[in-house]
Amino acid sequence: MKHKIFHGLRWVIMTLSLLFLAFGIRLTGKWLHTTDLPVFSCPFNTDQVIHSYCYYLSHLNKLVEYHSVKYAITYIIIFIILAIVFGRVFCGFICPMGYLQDIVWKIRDILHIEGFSRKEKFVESIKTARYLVLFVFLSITFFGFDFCSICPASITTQSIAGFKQVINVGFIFGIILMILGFFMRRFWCNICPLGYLVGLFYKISLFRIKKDCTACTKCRACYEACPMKIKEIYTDDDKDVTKTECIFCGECIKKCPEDKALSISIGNIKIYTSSRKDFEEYHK
Amino acid sequence: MGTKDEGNNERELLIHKRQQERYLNKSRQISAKYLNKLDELPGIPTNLSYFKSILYKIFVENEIVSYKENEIYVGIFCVLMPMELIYACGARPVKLCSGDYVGFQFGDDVVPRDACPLVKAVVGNNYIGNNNTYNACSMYIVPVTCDCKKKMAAIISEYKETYILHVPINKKNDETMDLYVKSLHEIVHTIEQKTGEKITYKKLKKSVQMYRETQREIRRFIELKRSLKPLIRGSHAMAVINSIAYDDIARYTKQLAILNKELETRRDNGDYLTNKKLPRILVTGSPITFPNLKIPLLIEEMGGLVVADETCIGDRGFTDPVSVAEESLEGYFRAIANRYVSACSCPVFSDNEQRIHKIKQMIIDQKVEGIIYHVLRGCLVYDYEYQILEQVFGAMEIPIIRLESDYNEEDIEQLRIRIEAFIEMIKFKK
Repeated sequence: MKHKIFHGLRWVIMTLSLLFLAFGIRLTGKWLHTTDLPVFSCPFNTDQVIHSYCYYLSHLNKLVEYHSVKYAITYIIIFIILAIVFGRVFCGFICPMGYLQDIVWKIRDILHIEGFSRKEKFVESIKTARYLVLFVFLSITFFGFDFCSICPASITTQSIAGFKQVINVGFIFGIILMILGFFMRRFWCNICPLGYLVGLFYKISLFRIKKDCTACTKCRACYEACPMKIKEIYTDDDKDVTKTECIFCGECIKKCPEDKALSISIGNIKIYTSSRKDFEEYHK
Repeated sequence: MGTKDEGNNERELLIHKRQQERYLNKSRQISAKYLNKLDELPGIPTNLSYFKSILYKIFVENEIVSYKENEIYVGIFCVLMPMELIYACGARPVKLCSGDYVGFQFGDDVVPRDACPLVKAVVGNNYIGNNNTYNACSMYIVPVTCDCKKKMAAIISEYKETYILHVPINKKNDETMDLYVKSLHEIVHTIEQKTGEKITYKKLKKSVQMYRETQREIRRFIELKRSLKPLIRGSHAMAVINSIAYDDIARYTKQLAILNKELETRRDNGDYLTNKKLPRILVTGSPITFPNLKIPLLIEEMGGLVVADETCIGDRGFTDPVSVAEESLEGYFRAIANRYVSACSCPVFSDNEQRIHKIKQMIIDQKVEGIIYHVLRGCLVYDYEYQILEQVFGAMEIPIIRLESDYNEEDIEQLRIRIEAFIEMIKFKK
């Protein structure tokens, strides 16, 4: 039962968030035009006056250029607070790019096409690539380029919103990522620089993944299910297995067959716990 | 010269024939004796008769349990060979790890003295050649777990087509797991050739689903077994779980559901075995296979109650269901590999801390009061882990003893004394 609530809610929120981010401006009219969205406000800003976090993170010089130093500091503090409170829950619930990747993965599931199997070395190389992408994300503006023109999230939301796209490097990049996402769940999320920055504060963030090592039989189901390829969730013997990559999608808990072995909690309150009964119901 | 040889051959044949007769007679006697012992133990559920009839058919009538004509049987050893795959190829797995005392005696002459009795029994059964459960199998699959199994594979390959399945030593390494998946593919290919059926996504999904249902029933059964006021005795439960090795899985599940229902109605009516508080014992260690049920039987004859077992022919093989993350044929293969290797708490793996966690969880769930650690003579891997368990559970103040036994009845009195003392000690502690 809890499976249905948690995952149903997740899909509903993700769908609503995509609809809002893509078509919000058309539904709400112009008044939202002047409102700042925290992220992905690109379809909202036809006149390119953008105030979202992701824009300024990739255009750090503009933060001071457009505003004052005081503004920049407040901006960063609010970012940190939001990251601590929500962390990468954003990735699992809000991000339209993640949602689209989940959809292509679901399509692969329906077609029963074989995905990439988990290769440790390959995963390690992606994790290195993540730092490279992060570096590009933060510094590209200083070399006079605009990250938004190659940002896959910007391109996909704008295309869905009905903006005409020029076939450029970014567009092709977006298509390649979707194909990779088809074979490897949430491929982009593994190297996403924004997700990385949001996940930096995982040690003190409010959302936690907890594990009961005695209940766990170490069957690897969680690791196999994890779209972020977090191996520690399977190997670690700690009570708290929250990692910087975790997006709180709940897949590990859905696939966990043991009672109370894994759970997502806000602070100390468990909101979603694995159970055999749910597992059996789901697989009936 | 030639005539002399022929004469010798004839005599050898005659001897072998006599050995075969002797084997059957004695083997039947012992199996019938242990089936009777199960009957004599008070509180046997009425619906247990189906499971006993399977054991009777296999061990006393010496016939394979068959429902279809021309069914192909694949003999497997260890719990590390995924049975779902065999069903998906259109064959039926038969677990051949044997507890046969008579097979053991014959095998004793073929393999080294220090080999484990299970291997001796398997080799002996093959050597004698008139155990029809073995004869019915088209091929053997031996997962390479411990050293004894490794060499056993070499010996039994003389009697039948034998394939070995590589099992990773380190479960946490992804590459060795990939290797295991690869060797599963190879094994499946050989089974496909035998049956002429190709494995497909649909077939595999169906057989995984079939096993999930069995696991659901077995879990229900285990939950009934752990009831604070006893509903079923552990020896009877072991006979139930043992008979899965020889039965068709769908039929077995149906029968187990009937047995579960009987136990549930008895629980609802408050019809327990006894209202006395019996010492609750967990049995772990080397495999306990029918007819070698002497340890659980002794425990329960001495007034204990086996509430849990962590042995490979017992509950271990069926507690974890397959959890599929990727809906494709390869995804199913990987999920099966994960469940069979990663979740297995067999001590053949180098890092096996999870076994301790598992037993701890069992102690909490089943309210265990004492642990009996069974070691078959020569079963080194289990013997190695005794020390760690003794340390851990000693600190938890849960009494634990190590019982070494062999496939014969010579040590039964000695075992009886030790088990009796152990159970008295638990009673005294209460």
